[in-house]
Amino acid sequence: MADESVDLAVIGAGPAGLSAAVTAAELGASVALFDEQPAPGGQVWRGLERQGRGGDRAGHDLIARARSTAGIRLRLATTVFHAAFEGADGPTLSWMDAGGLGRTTARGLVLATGAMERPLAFPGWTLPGVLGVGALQAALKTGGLVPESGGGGLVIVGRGALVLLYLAQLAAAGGRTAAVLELAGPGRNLGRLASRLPGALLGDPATLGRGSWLLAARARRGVPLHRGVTNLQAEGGGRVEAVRFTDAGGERVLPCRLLAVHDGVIPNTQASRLLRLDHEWRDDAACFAPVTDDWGRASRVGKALGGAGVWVAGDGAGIEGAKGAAIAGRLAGLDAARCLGRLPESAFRAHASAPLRARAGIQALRRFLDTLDPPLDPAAGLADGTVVCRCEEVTAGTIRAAIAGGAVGPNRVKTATRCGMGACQGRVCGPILTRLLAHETGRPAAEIGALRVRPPLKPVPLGALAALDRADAPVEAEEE
Amino acid sequence: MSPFRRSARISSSTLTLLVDGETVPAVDGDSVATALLAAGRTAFAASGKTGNPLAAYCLMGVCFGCLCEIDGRPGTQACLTAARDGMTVQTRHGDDADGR
Repeated sequence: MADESVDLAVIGAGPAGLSAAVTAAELGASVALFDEQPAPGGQVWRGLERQGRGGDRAGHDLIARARSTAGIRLRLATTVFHAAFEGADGPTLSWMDAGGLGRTTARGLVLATGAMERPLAFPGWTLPGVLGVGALQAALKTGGLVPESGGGGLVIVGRGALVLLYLAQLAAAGGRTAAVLELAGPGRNLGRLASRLPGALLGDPATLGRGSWLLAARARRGVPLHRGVTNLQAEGGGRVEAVRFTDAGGERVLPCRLLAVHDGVIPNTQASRLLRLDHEWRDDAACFAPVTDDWGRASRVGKALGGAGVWVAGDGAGIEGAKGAAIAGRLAGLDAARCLGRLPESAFRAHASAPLRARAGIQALRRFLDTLDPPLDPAAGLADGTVVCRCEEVTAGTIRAAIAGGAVGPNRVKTATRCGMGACQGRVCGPILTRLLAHETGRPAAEIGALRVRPPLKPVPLGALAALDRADAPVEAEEE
Repeated sequence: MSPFRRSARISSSTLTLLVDGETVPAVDGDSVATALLAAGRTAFAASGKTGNPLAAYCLMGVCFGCLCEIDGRPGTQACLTAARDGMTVQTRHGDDADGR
């Protein structure tokens, strides 16, 4: 088993993780940078290295520096399956790659685990051919996969920045979209929208301008748009063959071979919840996110590094996009270097002020966008027959019956119904389950909480589990 | 028939995977999951509970809908695994449960 000791461990080699690792390593820290994908870049810079010189220059720069900085050990295609604090020491990561098992002990840890698409359950969403818009974008970037137009081709359900971006990327790759459906959602708060516009305009005009351009490009391409869609349903035998829905014109059925769904992205909190960091419910963004300070320092600090110890940077700490993530990673890297004694206080202040200002602007734009496209409530109008947990095929009706029978928290529903007990360990159904419990019990999502995450973070062979220190296993009271 | 085609920017298939005993072409840069989707294999398993097809949903390591046995390693996320020439992939079907 490989065993190493470093100053800083970073999980996730997207914009935030790359930036944190490069910043700390260039100041002299030894860094281990982990990613489960075979190449660095995360989702947004997926496949960037293979594009040669094309694509995002900031991404090329960070990836090249991560590859060339002597102090960075880049561990790709590596699954971190456990992270824990052992005694008074820093965090210890257990991981697995093609060569076997490894363990990395660090003085500090940066979680840069990024975002996932906000799950949205509806009848038929488990059929093959129903995927996230982010999934189709990944398939385009990874293997150049473009939807065929035969059999109705691709229909997109959703709105927001990623949908517009994918439409543009798909058009550039020679593909087309048969229709875009916008689900009826909560109304926009126009007063709040107006009050947040100036901040967005001043804060990040370049991104706002790009978004407006993408919106205009969609209009130019003339993709049929259905607004105020309700009663969404995917239909087919063995795979999706059509989408049925209601709009202002009545009930419609469109044939399709791919149905891509999107309702924005939320922080992937699996690792931060495993470490029992404090999380808060954010109403605007309708998600849980770890509580952090300006530098990304999390609440759970252990005794490592004199009270620092864990940072969360990038979309995993709250959605700010790639540009915001790279800045957050830099701030975490600077703070980690300061805590490690690699950066004097005065130099830290000097380095941190410009990124802090830039990030405030990006956050102002994000607050505007969350008001422009308020997230849908995945539990609103969820029919009893609709599957919530894809892995274990648990329906909303089964969950409602369990709640009525006294399972009033996510972990109790899990025990009663197996919802969240499958291979994905509740990553997909968890956010829906929290909202469903909120509906059924009349309590706010903040109070309901999220499914408890237990090791391992990803399924691993039994031999790997045996390597875990049993003392790590958290012992906690059941929820009330 | 696959719901996908390859973009014109992708050079022709150079790799071959052995999936459930059949050859499936792949391109440099493919994950095992994108190679299977490009070949029209959109169902990765049949549910042991209902017999319904189980499918990949996220293609970014979250949903675990693409679990396969890859080169003898069961429970491997196909979307996180780079396709390599000669790879052996076993989906979680009995014999031929999906409608490909």
